Amino acid sequence: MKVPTQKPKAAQMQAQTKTRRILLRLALLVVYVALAVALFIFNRGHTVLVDNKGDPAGTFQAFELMKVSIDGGKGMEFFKGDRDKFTVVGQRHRIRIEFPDGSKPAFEGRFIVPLGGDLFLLSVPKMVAGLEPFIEPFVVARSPLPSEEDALPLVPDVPEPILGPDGKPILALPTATPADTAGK
Amino acid sequence: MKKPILLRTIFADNLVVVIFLVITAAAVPVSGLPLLSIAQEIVTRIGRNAFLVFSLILPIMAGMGINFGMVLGAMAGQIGLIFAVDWNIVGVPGLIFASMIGVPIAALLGWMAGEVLNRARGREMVTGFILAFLMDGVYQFVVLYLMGFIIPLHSITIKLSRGYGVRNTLNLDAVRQTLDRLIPLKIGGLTFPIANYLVMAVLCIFIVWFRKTKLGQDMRAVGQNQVVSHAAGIPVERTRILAIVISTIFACIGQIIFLQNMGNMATYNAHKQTGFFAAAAILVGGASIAKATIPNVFVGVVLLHLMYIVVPRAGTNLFGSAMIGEFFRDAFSYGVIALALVLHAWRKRANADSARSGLRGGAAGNRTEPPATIAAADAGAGK
Amino acid sequence: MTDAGIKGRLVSAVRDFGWPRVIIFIFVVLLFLAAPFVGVSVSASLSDVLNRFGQNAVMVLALVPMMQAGAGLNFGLPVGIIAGLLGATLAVQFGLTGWVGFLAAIVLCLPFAIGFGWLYGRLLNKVKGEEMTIAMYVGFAGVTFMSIMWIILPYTSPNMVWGYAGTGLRTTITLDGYWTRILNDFLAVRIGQFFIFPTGVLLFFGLAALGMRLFMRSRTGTAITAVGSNPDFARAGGVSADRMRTISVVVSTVYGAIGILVYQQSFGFIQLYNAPLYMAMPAVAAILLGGASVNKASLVNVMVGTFLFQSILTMTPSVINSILQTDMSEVIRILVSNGMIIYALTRKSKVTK
Repeated sequence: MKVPTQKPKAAQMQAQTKTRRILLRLALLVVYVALAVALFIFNRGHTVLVDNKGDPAGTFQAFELMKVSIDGGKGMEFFKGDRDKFTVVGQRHRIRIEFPDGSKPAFEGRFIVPLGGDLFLLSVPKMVAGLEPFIEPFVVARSPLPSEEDALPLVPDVPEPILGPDGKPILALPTATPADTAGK
Repeated sequence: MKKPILLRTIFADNLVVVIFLVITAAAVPVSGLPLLSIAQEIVTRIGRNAFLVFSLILPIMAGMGINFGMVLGAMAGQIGLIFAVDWNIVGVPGLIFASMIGVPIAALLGWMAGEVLNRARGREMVTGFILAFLMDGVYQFVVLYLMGFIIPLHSITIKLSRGYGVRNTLNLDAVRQTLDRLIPLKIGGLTFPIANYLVMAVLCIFIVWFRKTKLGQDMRAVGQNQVVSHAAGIPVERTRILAIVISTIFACIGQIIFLQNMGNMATYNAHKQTGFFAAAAILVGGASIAKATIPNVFVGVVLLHLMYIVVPRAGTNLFGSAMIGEFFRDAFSYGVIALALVLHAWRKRANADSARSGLRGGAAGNRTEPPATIAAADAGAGK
Repeated sequence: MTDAGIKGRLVSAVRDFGWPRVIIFIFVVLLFLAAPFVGVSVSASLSDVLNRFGQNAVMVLALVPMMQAGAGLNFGLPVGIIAGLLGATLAVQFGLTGWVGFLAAIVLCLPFAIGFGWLYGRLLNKVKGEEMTIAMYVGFAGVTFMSIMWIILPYTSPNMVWGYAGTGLRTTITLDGYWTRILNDFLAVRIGQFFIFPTGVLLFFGLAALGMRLFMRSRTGTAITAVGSNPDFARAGGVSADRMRTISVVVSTVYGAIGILVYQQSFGFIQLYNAPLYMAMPAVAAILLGGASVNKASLVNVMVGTFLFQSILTMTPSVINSILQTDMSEVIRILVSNGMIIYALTRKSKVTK
């Protein structure tokens, strides 16, 4: 008994379309992942603490007064011993140091922020002196978080507060669990 | 004989909108709020909430009622945001990153939800409602126990002090209001979040285009009559699942847009009322369980949020107690949904009854009703 | 009888009962077995479970009439709960304590329960086929509407109103000095150091269950069952489906009202405002866990289901938390109760709407 089969040419074309479809989907997947990775690399925010402190060992000196601007942004003034923070997005950045007291010509430099870290310390005097490495990850001793924010959010036997469309609990009743008031 | 029925249906069709309009309009002057600030609030909220409401359109079109399972999409979006915040991806790219993580999760959850709903024909709405609760438990399990433990979290600041699990409140400063402020437009004292509106315009175009595609037509057919669609060769089960999947994906993106406006995420509570508000909005906008259009979404969001802004204040001014105003607002919203559901169910039965009595040759009803209509009415009544 | 025959019967019995239920049953047994090894006293736990059984069982019982009548799972139980709250608050307002207070609460809640139930039943009759979602939202709307009432109704008892404002009921009202645990402690029997058998509340449940059984076996009761399982046959027999459904809703609401009174006396507090919103869910989960389906429920379902469900609620925190050193009870509760409801809703039953 002959089971109806497709002509060999039609079967071949079907296989071709199928392979083509799989390849297309694979390509789309690769593009998707690549886009996500690109967003990750180029849009990660970092906090850079900028220092105007001298090296205790004396290899470089802090400046009396300097003005720092990163990526053409607003300049911040640093007196000797100051430390302040900049937030940056992405890895590669330009930095420009001006000396309002005229002691040295303006310094333009570049730095790269490693992808993995969140907080870094950049020592300007060290950078201007040409020493490496002038930017390092900064580890902070973890401050204890306030306990109520930390409380496990699950409390059985008490009805959860119902949040309105603005995120605030609808009824500010005393027995409501610690609800989060969202900014409007 | 036909005229009174026609008037009654027009009235019933828009009863919910009318009631809402009347009460809200009455409350506006009583609330004592300046019109400009009300208008600004509405403008902002359209940009914030409307996307979520759009996610309900497709399942309604496919005859599955209100998809309370959209909450699953909201949860997926929140997980995306958790990662975006964890790695401190800033600005609108951060939102896009969160979406790129959330959408695949939403698609997966939507597929699962669609499968479950297919097994609960005739009870989709209740099942969706309970499914949302169930997945809330799963979400809690993942976010409160697995994250930071098996699922690596990078930044310590978002973890609970015990070392694993995400904190109750997540600070979204990295992406706070970034979409809103992307293309601001100031006209007459009001600031319009144009970027949000653009995104919604794209969504509207997508929906209009989708309705014309084969899949869209299939969905409509399935929504009207599953039996006939099946006979016509449409893969009914798959079409319904796809409706839910798309709905969940929209809910994921919508929740991300919502949360970027809020600026803060209540990790374990933010998704809980999403389904209710979207449903209330679309029903208040004049949609029914069987039919929803794009204007329904906008009208509904405006009316619902107008009511939410104005009524509590009016209650305070009238009764001297803010709580009464808020309770009234909630009771009113729940009542309106109940009313919309009741009206719909009642009309469906009335249609089926008149079709059936027509078949029996009763006094009311048309003797020459073609069989397809009666079968459709019966199939519809059997839902 | 061959081995295959016995095994076949076992497998089909399990399939009928449902794999999730069997799994949960085994889970509960394991919890009890594991308890002593993690320092949890089995007798104290059992005592706890029995207490919670009595606390919740009457509300679960309330679901039976509507399920039998084919009106679905009564997600609108909050309507009955509100009636019960009215009765309780009125009894406290009149300063009635002890047995008088508790019985007065029951008597006072009845007119409300019957009235609300009748209205609610009429509404459900108009929407056959979509009852459950509507029931839910009617319940929600009712609870939030009552919240307004709790604020403006002229209660004056100092035990109940806000101290500062002088009017408006508080969110939780303690029953200390009124009728806390009046049933649970009635004729309680203490065996050993940890085990207290709460005779009173279990007796009360027995009474309620007996009442339900007599009702379901009466002419009205059988008519209700007929309407639920075979509407055409019922109609042919001259039974009005609408009337039966309304009666089932009224009975359900009344039991719901009494159920919340039993719950309150065991819990020790009257909870107002938003507390009743989701109270139907655990009851629904319990009865489904006991083997009921969306349109068929029996007393056995009620008892087995409530026992299993409360066992999970009681044992999981103590046992699992000792093993895992973390509190997962809430998550487990959510998964189990909602999972059961989903399972029941997605099961193909013989009478589908």
